[in-house]
Amino acid sequence: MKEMIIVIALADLTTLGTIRTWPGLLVAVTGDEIWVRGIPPDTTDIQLRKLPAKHTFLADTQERLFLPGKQTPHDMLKKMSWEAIASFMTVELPVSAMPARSGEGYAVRLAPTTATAEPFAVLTTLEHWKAYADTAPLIRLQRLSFAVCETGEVLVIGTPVPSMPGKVFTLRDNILLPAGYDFDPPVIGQLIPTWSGTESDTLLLFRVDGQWEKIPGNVFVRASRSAIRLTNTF
Amino acid sequence: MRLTEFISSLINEGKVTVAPAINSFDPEDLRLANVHLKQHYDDDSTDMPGQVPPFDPEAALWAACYLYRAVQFIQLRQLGEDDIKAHLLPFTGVPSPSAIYAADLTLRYMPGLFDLAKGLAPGDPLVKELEIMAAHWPFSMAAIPSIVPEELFLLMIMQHPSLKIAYIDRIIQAKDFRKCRHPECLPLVKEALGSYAAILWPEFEIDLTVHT
Repeated sequence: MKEMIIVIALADLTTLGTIRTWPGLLVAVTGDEIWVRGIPPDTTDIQLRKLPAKHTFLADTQERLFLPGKQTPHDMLKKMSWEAIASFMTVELPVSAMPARSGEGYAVRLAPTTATAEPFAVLTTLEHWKAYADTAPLIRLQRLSFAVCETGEVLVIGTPVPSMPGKVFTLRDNILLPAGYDFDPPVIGQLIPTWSGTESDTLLLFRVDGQWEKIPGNVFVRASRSAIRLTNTF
Repeated sequence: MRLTEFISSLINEGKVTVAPAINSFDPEDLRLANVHLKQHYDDDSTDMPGQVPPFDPEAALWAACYLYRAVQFIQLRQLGEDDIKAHLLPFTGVPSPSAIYAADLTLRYMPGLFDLAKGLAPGDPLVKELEIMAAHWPFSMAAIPSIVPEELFLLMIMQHPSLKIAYIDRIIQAKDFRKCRHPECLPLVKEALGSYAAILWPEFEIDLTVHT
């Protein structure tokens, strides 16, 4: 005999995956069946025997089909369109090998706290800042720096924090928190510097609603009356 | 060196040279010097508190000439008392906040000149002359502890909102206990320090504890 041929149901197509890499195998689909040929006639491999074969034939060189152990042919091999099993069954990456999806982002929350801390910064308007600097004692101005954004908001840092209308912030590990507030839970505060990867001179300003922004150290200007007076937004 | 160059070098580089002999200033040099002084007034006023007094060109020019001559007398030691009295002339204009601030544009460098004059004998005519002048211009001499301000001139400063704040800034900056304890100044110094005296000027807080 030249070769072994097996027939399995089309529904059991995936079971052929175990023999997909065997050399010389050809497959053809006819109706709801898949025919596989090119199997060595004396094969007893366990992977072959585990296949849910509906029929097993041995074929001779004239493509006559014999049932195993029978001396007379059972049928003739029909004309079918044969294809190499490797191209017939393509490989798909198993889903389990893909990295897991990261979970949803954690929303940082702030909550009122009873712990007290010295104020370090005030968020105010350019108008208020100019009015303060106009008559402020020099000894106080010299200890302050400020940064202005396009909207006219001014962040003044340094102590003593000037007395003027605005929102006051405390400082901890380069994080500016609204006075009277802390992270909820407070331990989050210890993780944020590592998570944010900020430079040593960059401040992270948090608002009461958990929104935050990075303020690089190089945007701050040392406070002087002329520097403040000559600052304008467009 | 001409007066114009003297002023320019003083303001921009903080160092000066003067002519090796006392000669009159050229009128064109004086005119240009006043242009420089007015420009310096405009620039400097942005760093002053509140609204500065109007520019007084006469006082500004007098002070620049006075400083120039004073530097010459420190360098040219062969000149005598008569020369000093002939060339270090007091201000003949009307004393006012405008005159105080305009003169201060160059007189504020006088404390450095006093340091140079320390090497001279206490009875030296130049030192005496400078001390008389300094007492009349306390706004510019805030950093010299030995100068006791003339009350009239001090009151003139304290009556102007901008000069008052700037003077208090200067005597705090100089950490001059005596000037800060002056009855006119003490309330303003306390106000400037507020409840942060222990941080801003710890010695002042201790000193007040001792003396009040």
